[in-house]
Amino acid sequence: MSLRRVFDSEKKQLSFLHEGDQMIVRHDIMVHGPMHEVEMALRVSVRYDPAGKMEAITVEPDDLALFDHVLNTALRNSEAS
Amino acid sequence: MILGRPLLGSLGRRRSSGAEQLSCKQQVVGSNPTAGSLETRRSRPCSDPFGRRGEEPEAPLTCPVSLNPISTGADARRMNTRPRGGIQGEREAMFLGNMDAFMRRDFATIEGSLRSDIILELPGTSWLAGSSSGTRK
Repeated sequence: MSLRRVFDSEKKQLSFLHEGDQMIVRHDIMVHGPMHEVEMALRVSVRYDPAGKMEAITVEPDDLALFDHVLNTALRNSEAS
Repeated sequence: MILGRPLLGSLGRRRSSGAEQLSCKQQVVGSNPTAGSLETRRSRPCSDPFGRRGEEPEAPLTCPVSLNPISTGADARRMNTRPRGGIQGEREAMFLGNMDAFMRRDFATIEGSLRSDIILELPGTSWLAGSSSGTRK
């Protein structure tokens, strides 16, 4: 299942916080399941190497239980079909 | 079906009112929506914008000095009244560029900004959860 099928940017406000070699982004996304569409904020922590490339990304949904539920429902649905 | 909530019509999309929203730590248990129904919800944040856990705030949080709120796409160009320069501006521009690339499935553009041994972490129990390394995973 492709990530692009379950995530969608709401193109709403983003916030950036910089600290050393890291940038933290908070932004709203839509998480699509077969029976749900959930609007949720993600906190994305990005760490950069000296060349300016991303070397680590940590994604933390605001509501992890709901996030997992929608994604797992989407997976079950795709396996059943 | 989410307990205590009526079924929606076929593919009806809606936003929950405040009274319908899940509480901060409420889990969706036993959810098994009837085929064809579609739930749309807005998750309420459990923490402040940058992950400091605690009681859910009643009032909007104030932003740290270094916060630079902007929007994406055309709105970003109009609303970004505090453009950053230097490395921070480059990082923000790269992130926005990657978001646009992701939306149009241009993964080559995204890969250009990543190390080949990048580490991606996502907590939880979903099929996406865990830690992976490399751009091909």
